[in-house]
Amino acid sequence: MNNGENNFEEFLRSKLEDHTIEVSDSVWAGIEKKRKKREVFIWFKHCFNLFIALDILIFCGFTTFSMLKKNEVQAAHQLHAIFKNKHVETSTKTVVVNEEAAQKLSTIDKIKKHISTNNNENSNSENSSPTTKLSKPLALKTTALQTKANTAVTTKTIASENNVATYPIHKNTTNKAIEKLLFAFTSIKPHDVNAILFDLNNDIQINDRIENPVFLNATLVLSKSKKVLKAEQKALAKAQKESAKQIESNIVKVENSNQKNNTAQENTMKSAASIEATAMNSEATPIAFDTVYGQKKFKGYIAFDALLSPEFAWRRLNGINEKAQNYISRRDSAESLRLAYSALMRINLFVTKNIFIHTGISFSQRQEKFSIAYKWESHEDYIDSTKFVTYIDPFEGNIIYKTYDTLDYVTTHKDTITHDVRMTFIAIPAMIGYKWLGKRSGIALQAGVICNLLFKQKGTIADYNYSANDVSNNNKNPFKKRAGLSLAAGISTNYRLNDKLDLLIEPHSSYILKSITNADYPVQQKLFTYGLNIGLRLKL
Amino acid sequence: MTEAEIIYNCQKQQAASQKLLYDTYAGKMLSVCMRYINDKAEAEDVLQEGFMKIFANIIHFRNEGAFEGWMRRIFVNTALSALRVKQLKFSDTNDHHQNHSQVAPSVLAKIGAQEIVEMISTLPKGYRVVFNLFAIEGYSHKEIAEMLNITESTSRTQFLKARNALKEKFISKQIMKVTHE
Repeated sequence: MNNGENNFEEFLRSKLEDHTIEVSDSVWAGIEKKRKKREVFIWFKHCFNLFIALDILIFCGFTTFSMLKKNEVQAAHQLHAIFKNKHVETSTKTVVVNEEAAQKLSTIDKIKKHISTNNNENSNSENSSPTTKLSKPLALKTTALQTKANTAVTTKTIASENNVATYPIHKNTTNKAIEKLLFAFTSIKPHDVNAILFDLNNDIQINDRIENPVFLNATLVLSKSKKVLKAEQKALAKAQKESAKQIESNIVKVENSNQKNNTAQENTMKSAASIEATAMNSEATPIAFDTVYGQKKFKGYIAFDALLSPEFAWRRLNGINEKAQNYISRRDSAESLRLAYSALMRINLFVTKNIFIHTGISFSQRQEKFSIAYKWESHEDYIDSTKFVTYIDPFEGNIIYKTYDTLDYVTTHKDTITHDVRMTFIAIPAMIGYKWLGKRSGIALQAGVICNLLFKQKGTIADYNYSANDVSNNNKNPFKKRAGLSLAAGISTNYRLNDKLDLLIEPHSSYILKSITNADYPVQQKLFTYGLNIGLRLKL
Repeated sequence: MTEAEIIYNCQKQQAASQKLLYDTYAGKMLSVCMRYINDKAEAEDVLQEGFMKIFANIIHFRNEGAFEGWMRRIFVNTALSALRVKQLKFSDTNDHHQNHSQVAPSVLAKIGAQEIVEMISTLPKGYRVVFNLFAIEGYSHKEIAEMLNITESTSRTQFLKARNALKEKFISKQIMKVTHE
């Protein structure tokens, strides 16, 4: 009998092995349509990933760049102020610092002391002449700094004929400006600054002749770009060459005229020094700051946003074992679209006209509700009945009468279990964006991270064992206490309602990087959402 | 183009090769789907979904077994998923006779594949699925029990009943033929 039964199955198998049924054309058309949709989705997914990667790159680049650039720009503005004032309020007196008194003062006080000394003792200083007291310590220090910056442009200036370090002193503003200037250069370490100030106070005769602002030049070089430095080097070399020629020609003239009196020679040397000083002065023109001059400095502003967003919530399940995979397959069939919403309050800082950063706090909820079939069982009920059948025996040709006394009544059905969980998230977003401005409206791309602070669940979960568990029971709650970091990106459009208020509409998406279920739970769940923020921006 | 070349090109998502693969196997796989799902339109939906899964996952095919067997498993699983959704919505009731008679080889020889598919499709869902999985696809009762989340004994019972019912249908069919002749 077994053989016969096996033959029956083998016969069916052999018959059905190559059996084909004609397929209607609409099937392939449907496949092509779905395939194109999938291609678009994959393309979108790649673009999204690229977008996120680019944003992170831009964020890192911008942060680094702004850190490097900040001090240079700040210093440039301050120096600009000094140069601007020099034609108006520059003193022409020379001051000799009291060495003993200076040593007792702090670094900043020292320089203030210089200023006040300068302002209060003008009459005394009139009698003082620029001395040739050795300023070697300063020259050495400054040269060392320049070596750090791979340049020696102003070394020549420092080691100029007079060996006198000078800088402009202004009656009202210079003291503070110089202090700021010195500390603005992060490339100069505090002890270097102190050393310079110390030198200024103790070893040098401070000559405030504007014709030779050596000290400023020396510090300025540290923050100049390579391009500017090269141009300066070239210009300096040219000027020096010209001045050398001039000196030579003067000396030749002096020799040729046989005027050997000291006065004439002295005049020649003075003339040469004057030419060189002029050349230095021309080099002291702050080429590096040309781009800064005349630019209106953008003043950052702060804006406050309040937003609400309906969201489409998606999830990706990953089963660690076969049982979990089976659960996922059933759940995928049973679970449809999940809805969510979020509310967001945030504060924006516009650091430039186009670049902004924002942070705040967001509250969101999502609901998962579905019924999942967990048992497919056949139940049999036997009913006493009689059925009388008549048929012709195909093999013998006889008429057969057959009676069945008992018929079985089969019912196939499924048992289902309901999953109903509400998830609540509280998180802090930190994003950076770039904004294009229009007359009344603007559009911005923004991306960043969302750091979850709180992740709470409520309801009943249909777990992978097909048992309904209350998530408030910690032992049976598979969810983590915090959802971790999410990547977020979006497009922000704004429409100006009045000077203070903007209307905001922002399509956005976010993706939680790690599973929201515990690592030992066989079903790993990752969430992502697409939403539309609608709200108002108040400019403070 | 050989099957290996078609597979290789499909792994590179070439549309022409995908069409070729579809043309080669669509009819055969529709037959598989029809054995699980009565309605042709629904079976074609399953066929469509199955091919989408194949195109998406063909990159994971490692030539470790027969490609047709791999495809067949995907279609069977897709059909089962579709059945699970449907099973949530209604229950199935049917009467069946107990019959342990054997079908003679001469009867079997005269029955075509299309008729067999039609006869299988008239079986109740539970019978049909278990019978197809065990008798045609060659899964064990243990595997079937895991796939359908039923007990092994249920799988055996369903199969035996399905076989008996099918045999009876074979005989009835032949009777009808003989009567007409």
